[in-house]
Amino acid sequence: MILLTQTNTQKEKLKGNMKNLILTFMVTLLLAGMAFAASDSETDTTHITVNEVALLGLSGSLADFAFTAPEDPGDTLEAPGPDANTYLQYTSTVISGLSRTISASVDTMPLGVTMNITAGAPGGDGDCGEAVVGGVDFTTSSVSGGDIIQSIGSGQTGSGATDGPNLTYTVDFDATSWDELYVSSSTEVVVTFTLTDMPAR
Amino acid sequence: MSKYLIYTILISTCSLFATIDLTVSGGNWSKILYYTDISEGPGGDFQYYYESGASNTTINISGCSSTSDRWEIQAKITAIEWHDSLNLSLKRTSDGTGSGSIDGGSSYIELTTSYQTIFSGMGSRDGISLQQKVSGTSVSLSAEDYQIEITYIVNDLTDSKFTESNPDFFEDDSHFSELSKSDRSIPHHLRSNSPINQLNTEDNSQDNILKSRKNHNVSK
Repeated sequence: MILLTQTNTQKEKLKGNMKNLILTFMVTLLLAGMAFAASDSETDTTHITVNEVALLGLSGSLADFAFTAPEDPGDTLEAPGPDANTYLQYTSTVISGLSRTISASVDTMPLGVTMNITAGAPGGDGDCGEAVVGGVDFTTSSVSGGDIIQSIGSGQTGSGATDGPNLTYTVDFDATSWDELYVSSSTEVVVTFTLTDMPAR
Repeated sequence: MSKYLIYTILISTCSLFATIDLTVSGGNWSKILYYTDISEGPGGDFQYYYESGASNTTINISGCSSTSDRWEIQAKITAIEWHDSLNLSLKRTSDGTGSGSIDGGSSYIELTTSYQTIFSGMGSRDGISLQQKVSGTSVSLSAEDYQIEITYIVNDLTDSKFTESNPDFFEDDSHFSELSKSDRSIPHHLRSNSPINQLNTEDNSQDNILKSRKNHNVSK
């Protein structure tokens, strides 16, 4: 009698387990059906293409220099003070890994006169490069100049009146060619700044 | 057993017929930024954001069984070639046409890598327009083609709270509080909005039956 009861219990348990199995199977079916039936999806692709940009400009006033006679006879001419009223402004977007430089050159330098152009810190946003320490020197015999800003990546200096690296022009007379310095009318010196692509950094 | 099999067949059949279809057309917005987009000239920057046309993307919802068939549109982004400073947003610019209704999404919603609801509605609707906006554009980005994929999904809210975008729904016990007492009755335990609750109920009831019978036998 006791054995029979145990057998019946086992049957009941098996029956219960089978029921659970069937229910689990059905619920799994239900979930699978819902997962595939309750939603539908589609895709779309958006492209934003940034092209290379190389814009360069200047803000400020033209520099004007004049040598003056010394106060005391026998002294040298007095060189004009530096001019720092010009700002170099640029926008640059480069392909990853590449960089640009800004160089300065002049068309001419009066005999016996030297000039130096030095850029201040670029500031701005992004990678506006670094100013070359000491700037670029020009003499009558050397007008091709060189880089004043290097390692420019993608960035912009800003376009406000005083945004961008401040350029300081310093003019002096060349002591080694003193004998070539003559009184003359004004000489205009054209300074050209060039933004150039460089090979991979 | 046959009773349960009938339930299964019925529910599977219902699920198949309850499908809401999503169709996305247009799209593939492409914005190319040139130096001419820098209005300030040298030293200036691109605009901070750019928008597509107001009807750049069109969505159609079809297959609803009635005007009270509720659905929601969700979207997420998957970067293909993207930059962290760029953000993509969507907004709905038209209601489309249809006998149901539509709600939400009229202001820009910034998309993330997780699904989020853009708008919702009831019944089939055609010609729902979407506009895209990309923000964070700057010349500080490298010059290249940035691409991102938007995945749209329609969830049938009437049919089920279980969605592809919410696979953890059944893991969240808070949803069970939404079930009414009647949901717990055995004949309705396979209703599509409460299967786990009923599974638990059934499991418990089976355990209780076994325990009861076992105790009874032992006492004999």
